[in-house]
Amino acid sequence: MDPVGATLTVTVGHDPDGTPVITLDGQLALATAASAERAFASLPAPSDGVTDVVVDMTGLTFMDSSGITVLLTAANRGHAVRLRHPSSIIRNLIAATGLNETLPIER
Amino acid sequence: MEPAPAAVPVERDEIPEIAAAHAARRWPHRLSIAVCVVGLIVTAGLCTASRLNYAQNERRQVSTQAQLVAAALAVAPVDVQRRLGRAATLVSATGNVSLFAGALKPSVPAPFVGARLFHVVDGTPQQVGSLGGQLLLDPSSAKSQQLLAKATATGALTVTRLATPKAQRLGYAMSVTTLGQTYVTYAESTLPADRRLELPATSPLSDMTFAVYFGKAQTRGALIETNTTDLPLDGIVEPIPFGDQVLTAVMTPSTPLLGRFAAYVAWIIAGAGVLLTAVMAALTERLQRRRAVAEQLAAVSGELYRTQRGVAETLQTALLPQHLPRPPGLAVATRYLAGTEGIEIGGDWYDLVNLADDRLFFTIGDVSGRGLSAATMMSRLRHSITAYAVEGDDPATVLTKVSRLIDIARDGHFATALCGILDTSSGRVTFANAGHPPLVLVAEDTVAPVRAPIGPPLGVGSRYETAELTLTSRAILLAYTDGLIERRGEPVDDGVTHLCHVTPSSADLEGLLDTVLTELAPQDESQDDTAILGLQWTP
Repeated sequence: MDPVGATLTVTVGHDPDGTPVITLDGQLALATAASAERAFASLPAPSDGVTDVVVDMTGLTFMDSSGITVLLTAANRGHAVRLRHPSSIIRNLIAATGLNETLPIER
Repeated sequence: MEPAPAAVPVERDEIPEIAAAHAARRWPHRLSIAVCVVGLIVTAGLCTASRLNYAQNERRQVSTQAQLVAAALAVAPVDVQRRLGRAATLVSATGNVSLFAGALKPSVPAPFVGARLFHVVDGTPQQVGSLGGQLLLDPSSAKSQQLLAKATATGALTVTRLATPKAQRLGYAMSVTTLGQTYVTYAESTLPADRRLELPATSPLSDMTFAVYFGKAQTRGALIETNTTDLPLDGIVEPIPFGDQVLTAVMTPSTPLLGRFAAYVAWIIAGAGVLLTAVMAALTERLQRRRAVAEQLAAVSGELYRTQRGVAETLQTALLPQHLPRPPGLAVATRYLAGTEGIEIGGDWYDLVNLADDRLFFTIGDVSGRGLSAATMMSRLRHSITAYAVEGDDPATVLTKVSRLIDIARDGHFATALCGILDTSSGRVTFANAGHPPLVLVAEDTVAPVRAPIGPPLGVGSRYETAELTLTSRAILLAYTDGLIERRGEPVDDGVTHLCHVTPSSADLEGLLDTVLTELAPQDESQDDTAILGLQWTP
C-alpha cells in the first residue's frame, strides 16, 4: 500500500556520544524509500568500526514493507539499527513481522 | 480445488478522446483549411480597406490638383481681355485709329495671330484697322456679325471657336465705348491643330492626363486640346469660365499622385497576408500531424499497458500451483487477488504438497515489493521450501535453511512466510512463522488468531521455532498474506482482529472465503496483492 504523494524528510545528525542519528519525518513508503536508503549509504561503513545507528521515528507517520527493506538492508550490512520513538502502529508492524530483535526499539 | 482466477479479459472502452481522434482523422486538414480561409478573408478585408483609403486620398489629391489647373487656365481670358480692352479703350478715347496697331503690336504673332478693329456706327461694325496675318473669321460672315453684336451688347469678352481641317483657333471680341464712340477689337489665337499638347515636365499638368473642351459637351468636335489619344477621359470634370463661354477640363492622374508605393500598399498587404496565411496553415498542419502522432502513441501505450497487465496477471497465475493435492480428510480452498493498480506482478504465494504418511505440507508467503524480481524470488522460495519439506525437514528447519538463500542487500527484497505440516489422520499441525501474519483458527463457533512465536522474515532470521496445535473435526485454518489485513493507519494486530470479526464461525470453506473477501475487499486502488489458503479438517 503506497500512499499517494508520500513525502519524507531525511536528516542525518549525531547524538552527543557521536552515534549517527537518521531522523525520518513523513511517510516511509515505496516512493520515498530511496532518500532514506541514501542516508544509510552516507554513513561510515560498519567495517570502519561504527556500527550503531539510531533511526529517529518521532515524526514518521507511516511505514510499509519498502521501509522495512531499507532498515533490514542496513542491518544486513552490519549496522546495529535502533529505533527511536516509533509510533504504536510501527511498533506493532515490527513485532508482527518478527523483527523485535533485528530492529530493537531504543530504551 | 479451483484454479486461481484467470486473467481478467481487457475491454477496450470507446472513450470520448478516441472518438474525437476518429473525427479528426476523417477531416485531417479541416483546421488548416479553416486557418487558410480565415487568413485569406482577413487579408482581403485589409487589402480592400487599404485600396478604398488609397482611392479616397488619391481622389482628394486629384481634386486639389484639378482646381489648381482650373485656376491657372482661368487666368488666360483675363489676359486676353486686358490686351484687347486696352487697345479698344485707347482708340475710342483718342479717336485715333492708328494707335490700335501700336497698342497690339507686342501681342502679335503671340498670343494673337492677328487682330482687327471695328468702329460701331449706328449699330453696324465697320472694319477700320487690322494687324498681323490671315484670320480665319470672315468679317462679312454671319458668325462674325453675331460675335461683334454680342460683344457690343455685353461689353464683355466674347469667345468663339474656329476650326478648319488644318487649323484650330479661338476668336475673341471685346467692345469698349468711350465718349459715345464704340470700338470693338477682335483677335485670334492658335490652338494645336492636332489638338495634342506636349507639356514640359515642370507643368502642373505634367503628371495629369487631361482634355479641355470648348463648352460643356465633352465631344470630339468640341475638343480644344489634350495630351492623350484615349478619349473620352474618365476623370474629374472642372468647368472654367472663359469670357462668355465655358471651357470644360477633364483630368485624371497619369501616375499615382501619392507616389507608386502608396498605390502598391494594398498589393503588399495582399502578398504578405497570403504568405502569412500559408505559413500559419503549414504550421497548423504540422501541429495537427504531431497531435495525431501523439494520439496514436497514447493509444499504443494504452494498448501496451493493457497487454503488460494481462501478461503480468497471466505470469502471476502461472507462478502459482496449477493443481493442488486433494487428500482425503481435508478440504482445500484458495483465493488470489491481484493488486488493482499497476502492471507489476506481486510476490504473494501459497503452496500445498503431499508428504508420506497422510501428512500435508502447506506454505503461505509474501515477498516484499513488486515486479519481476519479486516474482522470481517468490518462485525460488516456493520451490526451495517444497524441496526441503519433501526431504523431511520440519517447518522450523525449512525456514532456517531457506532464510540463508536470501541476501536483502543483493536482492532488494525480504520475504515473510508461514509453513506447516498437517497430519490428516490426527488433525495435528506443526508450523513455523518467519515474520508472517498469524494463522486464524475457526473452531467450535469461535474465530481467533493462533498465538505462536513469530521469527524474523526470511533473509534476516537464522533460527525458527516450531509451534503445534491440534484441530477439532471440521475446524478451519486460514493462512493469508498481509493484503487481507492491511488497513491504512491501523496497527497490524487490529487488522487481524478485524479479520477474525468478519470471518463467519459456521460456514462451508468456500463460502467462508467468499465472505471474508467480500468483507475485506480492497478499499483503494493501490491495494496490495492478497492470497488466502483455507484448510478444513474433515476426518
